[in-house]
Amino acid sequence: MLIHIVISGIATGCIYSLVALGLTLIYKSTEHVNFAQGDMSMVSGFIAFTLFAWLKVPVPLAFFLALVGSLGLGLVMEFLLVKPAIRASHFNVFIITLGASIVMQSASGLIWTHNEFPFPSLFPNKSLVLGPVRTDAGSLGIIFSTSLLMLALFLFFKYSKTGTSLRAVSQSQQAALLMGISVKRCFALTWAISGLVAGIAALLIAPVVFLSTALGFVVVNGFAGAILGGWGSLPGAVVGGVILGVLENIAPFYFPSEIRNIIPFAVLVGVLVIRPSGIMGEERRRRV
Amino acid sequence: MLELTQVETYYGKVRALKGVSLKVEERSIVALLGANGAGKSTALKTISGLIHPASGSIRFCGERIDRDSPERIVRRGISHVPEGRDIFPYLTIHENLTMGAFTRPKTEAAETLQRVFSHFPILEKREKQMAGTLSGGEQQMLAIGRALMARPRLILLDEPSLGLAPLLVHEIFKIILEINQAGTTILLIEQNANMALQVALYGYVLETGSISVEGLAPELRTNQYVRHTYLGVKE
Repeated sequence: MLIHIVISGIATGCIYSLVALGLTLIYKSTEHVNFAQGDMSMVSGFIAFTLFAWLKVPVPLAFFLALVGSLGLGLVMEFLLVKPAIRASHFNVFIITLGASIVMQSASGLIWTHNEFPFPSLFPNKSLVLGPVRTDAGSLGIIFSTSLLMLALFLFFKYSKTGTSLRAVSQSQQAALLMGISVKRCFALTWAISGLVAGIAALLIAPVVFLSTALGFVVVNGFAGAILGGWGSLPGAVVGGVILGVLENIAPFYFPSEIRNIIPFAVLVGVLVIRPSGIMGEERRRRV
Repeated sequence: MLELTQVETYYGKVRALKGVSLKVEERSIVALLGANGAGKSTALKTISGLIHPASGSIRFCGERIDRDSPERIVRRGISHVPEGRDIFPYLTIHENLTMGAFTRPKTEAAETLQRVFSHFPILEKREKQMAGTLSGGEQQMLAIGRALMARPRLILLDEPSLGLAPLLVHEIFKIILEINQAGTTILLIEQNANMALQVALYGYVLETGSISVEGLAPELRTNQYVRHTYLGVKE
């Protein structure tokens, strides 16, 4: 029983990791905090929903198009909101993304209403018995897909020239410019990747919690996960998200079930008080 | 090869360059001397496109480059080793060097890498190490090596000797001469005027944003004013 709870906790945690990853990617390269990360997921989910429920597009194709849309959404966010604010402070950009988040929620409410919609899952709805462990295919599917995505991202950032140039930009924009790297293009690419990650998160979480305009609030759990893991660290975002998911799933087992909603905030406060740099936090670089 | 004509550059609201004109001939080493805050680094940043001049023109091989982005200027064949080295601390030595060759085709990178390693054998030994773990001198070598990876025709060096032990300063200047002999033109900023005028062919002295003295290096070395102000000779 406990193992089952831990596994589904890891699955929930994977979603938080994806949100945390999206936040961290943008933060690392542009130092901007994107409050609309969760709403980018929500809109991607609704793009898929519109395609398969209204336009009767086959589900796999709808999912694929939604992912393309989520990538585009990242680019649009960067182009319309962040790029024009190039001289603005990071705090101003944060407020801009907060505004974007509210606009996306309200606009989505107008188009799709604030109701909850069922969302098809990529994985069969079956429970599995592996020796002594009982679990369900959905959880394993989420864990597997997330791991695959993270592996792909890791290989991209570590071994490709473009990935390395993104890391270079996050370390010194001036030096990157002097290498002939287009910093602007790197920012756009980072937002696109972050959008894609948001889209994948949507396709994984919407079948579990239903699709609604409230999906964007997952950004809070994403923040908590990222801060628990160490703000600014990509591996930290993954680890923090997973731990948060497990905590959230285990706590109601021992305490009243209302505790679930308190967990992310409790974790946030706890980490910031006890160890602000989180589990794998990097020492903050000084900028000259 | 490089020609600045009446270049004026603002750094924020400050007029950092007040009509600077200078020339760098192909295959030469030119030294730009001056005290802190004279505008030397601003001059290099203006050439490499990090800052655009408010007026005046910069020509490289006959073409105007003063409106180009840094990206284009690198592709034209100018590499800038910035003040304070500015290496990527969390990339390995190898990755730093690969980034240096960002604008170049993949096929030639391996060969260029060998050439850089022949100037700086220490970098080959530390290839897999994070650049941030290197000592100051090694970081300077990495910064120069990284710039060489772009196969520049002109290399701009901003205070390569800053903060290095005297022995290392000699080492770095030896390498600068080697690089020049291999055919790369060099524009060098130095506070260590003595050292700079030993390797340079021609020198300019920049004072609060304008050129006050210029001449062949041997002439500058014997110039009363330069001797007194920049070489620390008391007569």
